[in-house]
Amino acid sequence: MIIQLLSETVPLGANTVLLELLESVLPLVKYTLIVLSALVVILLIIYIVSIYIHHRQRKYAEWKTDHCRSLIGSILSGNKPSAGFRLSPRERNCFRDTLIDEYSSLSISGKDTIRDLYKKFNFYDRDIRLLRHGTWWKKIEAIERLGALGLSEAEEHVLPLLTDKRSEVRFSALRMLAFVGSQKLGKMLPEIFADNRRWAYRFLVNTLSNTRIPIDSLKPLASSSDRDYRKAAAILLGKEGNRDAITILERLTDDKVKDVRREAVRSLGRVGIIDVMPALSSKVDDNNPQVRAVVASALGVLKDKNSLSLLERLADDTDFDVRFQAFLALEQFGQPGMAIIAKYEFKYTEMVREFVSKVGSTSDAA
Amino acid sequence: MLLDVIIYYNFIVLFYFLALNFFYVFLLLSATDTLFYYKRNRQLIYNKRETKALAPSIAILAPAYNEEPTIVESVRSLLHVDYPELEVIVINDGSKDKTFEVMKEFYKLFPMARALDARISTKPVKAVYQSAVDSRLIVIDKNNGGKADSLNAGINYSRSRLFCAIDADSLIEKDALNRLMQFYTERETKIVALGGVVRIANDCRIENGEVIEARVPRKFLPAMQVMEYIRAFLCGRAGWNKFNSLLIISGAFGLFERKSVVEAGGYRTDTVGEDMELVVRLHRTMREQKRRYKVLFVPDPVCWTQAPESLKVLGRQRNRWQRGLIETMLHHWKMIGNPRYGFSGIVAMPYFLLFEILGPVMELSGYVVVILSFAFGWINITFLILFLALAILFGVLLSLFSLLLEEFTLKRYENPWDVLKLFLLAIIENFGYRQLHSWWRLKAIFDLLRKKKSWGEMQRKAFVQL
Repeated sequence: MIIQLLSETVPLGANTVLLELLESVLPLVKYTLIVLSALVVILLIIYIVSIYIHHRQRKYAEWKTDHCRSLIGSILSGNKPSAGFRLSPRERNCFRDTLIDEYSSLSISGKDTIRDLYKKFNFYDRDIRLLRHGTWWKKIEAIERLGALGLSEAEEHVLPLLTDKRSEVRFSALRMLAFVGSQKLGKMLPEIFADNRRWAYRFLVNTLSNTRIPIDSLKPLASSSDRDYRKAAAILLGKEGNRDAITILERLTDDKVKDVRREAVRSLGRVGIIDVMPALSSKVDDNNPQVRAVVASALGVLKDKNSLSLLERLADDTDFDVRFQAFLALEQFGQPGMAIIAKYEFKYTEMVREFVSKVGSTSDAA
Repeated sequence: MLLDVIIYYNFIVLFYFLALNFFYVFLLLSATDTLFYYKRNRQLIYNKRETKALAPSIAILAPAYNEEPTIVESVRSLLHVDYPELEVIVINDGSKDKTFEVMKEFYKLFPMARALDARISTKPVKAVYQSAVDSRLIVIDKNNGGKADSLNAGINYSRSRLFCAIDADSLIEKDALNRLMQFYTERETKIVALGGVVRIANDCRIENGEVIEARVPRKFLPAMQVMEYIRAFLCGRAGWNKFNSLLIISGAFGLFERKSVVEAGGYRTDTVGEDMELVVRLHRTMREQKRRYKVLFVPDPVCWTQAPESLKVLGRQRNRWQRGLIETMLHHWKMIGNPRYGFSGIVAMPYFLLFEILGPVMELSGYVVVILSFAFGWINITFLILFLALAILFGVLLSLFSLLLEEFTLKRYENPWDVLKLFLLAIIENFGYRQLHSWWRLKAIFDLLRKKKSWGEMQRKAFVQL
């Protein structure tokens, strides 16, 4: 109809150059329209087909998962041998994912069976191949699966990925190795940190925070010229009862960078033994309020009665956050701490009221 | 002479239309890249093993004004959010209904004292309460001062490192904050703000403050908004995200670094578009300080909100959005076309000026001029029909592409009929709804010239538990 309309010559009101120009645009508009119509039709077909396929997939996925779950259940209960049956290509991925789903809720022997099945059906070998040759997201999928099943034997294949060119792959490899408690991570630390950009170290430290890394591996980081490495070392050394770390942490509390000092003080608090008191006391007068606030918080964790006088000083600090952390720490001491808080009733009325009303509401609830 | 002007104008409209659609295609392509990257990254996590020991604390700030029917359910949804270090701060902004009383009774609120850290100036706070049912819930009862003022009060009283600004009538998905935080912790650059996706909750299946099943609303207007939201979030915001030029993070769901916002002076209270203004200001500040930063859009964490069901309320909402946009542009006009502000200054700001602010002017005047030209016989019927067909077809194509993106990446609507319905809506919206929408936005320009500042009241309905 549009083409029919185009072929009609409707007389124009005026015969100017502009009108002719406008007319000359029409063929372009016409062809654009035809291309767009074709595109809409193609997209519509793709859209309808994808809706149908996704709907079918969803329905089939539910059935498949139930089927795979009952199959795994039969194997685990000994009703079905783990060998002698084949999976159709469509069932394979579902079976693999169901194995991973079931893994976390099983006993140790059940977990061993799942790991054996994973290897028996060649899922492990396929994952290792993907680690070498897959696209970045396939690599991550494989790492995540191996990690989810705690397959620490894959460690040597995952370690090289700590220096992969994609940060997503590096992060995933690190997560997996930290999760399976890889002993080789410590040696790789300088490399891990060197290969990642400045802000990424937060994620790295976060991932490694549950992993106990040998102090010798952290020493090079602690004496690095890069502030972020020193900061990372300060955080990673802060493990409960880590007496051997105190000397390094004490040194880091004198660092010229306040972030390093702050994390070193926080870690001393986490170490949580009385030997850290001298180092903490020396930081009460640090020129940075963030460091003083963390000192107050660490003193609250230690709960040593000798630190009450230090906390009293910090409770009268010029910075809000330092005062607040000191008040929180004093609260941990019970009556002696609350008595110090009460001294500031007129100077920091709002804050004292907050702490007093908290005690009031707790005793009401009790 | 008049004929020349009209013909020239026809050309301007035509080129404007081409430029606009070129931009849309550009945004769609970059959005496709963002969404597929996100899809690949998201589906990789087989189980969550993230350590939560160092998770930064988050305060959810929910300003509430006359939210009596939905407030209990909304707060319940907020308290269900799965995040280890969470405070939920509801700010009762001088509601005229029983919003506060309902909360007080249901959540057993008792007065508490809380010392202030930040002191962004706000309307007087009458009292602060804590819940005896859940100690993470804090309610600030204050005099009416608008949404921005309430958020500022919430920022003052919050003790968290980040805050999440939401609308009190919204439902946040249980793991939405965890998903947002995955991107925050895996950052390589400083992130000052993150935005998620807002979707329409009308007619969805809701249980215990959680959306169990996403459905396209039965009513025409909310259903149409589902289509609009999909296009805006999955095409527009995901597209700008690729170039770190996301200028809008929805006021219904956005996460910000508290310190950065306090330093920037909090939300502006003299604009109705405080959400966009804050994000643009953060861009501006970071660029002026020559700092590396990101404002991130994460396509999957979802917040569900109630869409207006009447033309009157919807018109008021769109009018307010448009006024907010214009006010933001006026406040930050120095950024427009200024290379100092990077891609945001050179491309994003001019885009918002030329196509979002002037869009309705051009569209409606284009209709008028083209129809007038035809009536006076200055252009032929072929041109008229082709022009309109092109406009509609482009609109349908963009909507269809956005729907395809949704279908291949996020797939929130599982019922096939719902998905088909969205396609039909993408066609229907071109006949009447789109023009009406342009009219509301055009009217906003006149309202702004008349210095109209009102926010416009929303009608709240309780979430239906199905």
